[in-house]
Amino acid sequence: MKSLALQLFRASLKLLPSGFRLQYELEMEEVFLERMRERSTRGIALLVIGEVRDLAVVAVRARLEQSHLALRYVIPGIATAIALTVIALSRFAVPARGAHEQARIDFSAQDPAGQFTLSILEGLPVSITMNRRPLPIERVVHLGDSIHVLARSGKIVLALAYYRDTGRIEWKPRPAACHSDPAECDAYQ
Amino acid sequence: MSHSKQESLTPLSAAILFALADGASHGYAIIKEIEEITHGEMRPNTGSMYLALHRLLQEGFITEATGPRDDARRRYYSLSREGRVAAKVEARRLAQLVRVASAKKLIPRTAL
Repeated sequence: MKSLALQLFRASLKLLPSGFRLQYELEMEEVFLERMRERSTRGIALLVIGEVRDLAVVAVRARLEQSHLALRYVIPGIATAIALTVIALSRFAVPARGAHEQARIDFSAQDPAGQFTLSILEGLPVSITMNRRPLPIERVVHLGDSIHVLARSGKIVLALAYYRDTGRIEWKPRPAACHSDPAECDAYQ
Repeated sequence: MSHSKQESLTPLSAAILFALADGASHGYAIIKEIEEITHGEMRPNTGSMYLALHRLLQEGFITEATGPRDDARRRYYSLSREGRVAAKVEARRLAQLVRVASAKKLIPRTAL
């Protein structure tokens, strides 16, 4: 009888939230064992019924309290996140909206060395072509107002100035000598 | 001590605080003490008892205490300073209610 009662009690303990169970399970079991020791067989049956019923109610209460606690911390967290997002948007997105037309720039130009295109997204170069041949974006170095396109050797094959605030782009024309291989030609030697 | 914390005291929580007023005790002994001080009117089940202990711990009314060395399998609880204040406030509140109930002859003389 005692072992069956203990099994029932242990099974009911599993209804409790895991954190609560981890903290008190062994102690509760010990208390239950002590309460069983002072009872007759009939008393044990009544004790188990009472304890199992109580544990079911306690499990619901503990879980509700947990979710209430979670909400207490989650809601301020969400509110803070929303507030920070609004601040961030007002500080950073508004200027971007003001310069909406410069959010993406597809620049195309021609000089004696040939034609090239440069796409700039949110102020950063994202793609470049020379004579319709795309170049790896890793070859584009952007420092301040300067955008340099490098040859594999590291020499500059195209130098541009990009003024982000106005969206204006200027470049130094490359010589006709670079026409055959503008992507590798040391344009400004 | 915040007013809301005091308000959150259930009859069982208050009984636990009263039971711990004499010193640190463990779960089973607290249950027995509550049965004794309430003349058996309150017989807390284990689950309810530990949920109440858990709340009291969270609210800082009780703290874990060191028990006797040969009793390592049990956890002991004792009243915190805040818990003792809460117990006193609750006791005064109940005493006031009893005075009112007595004045209105709602309590039989034999019960006092």
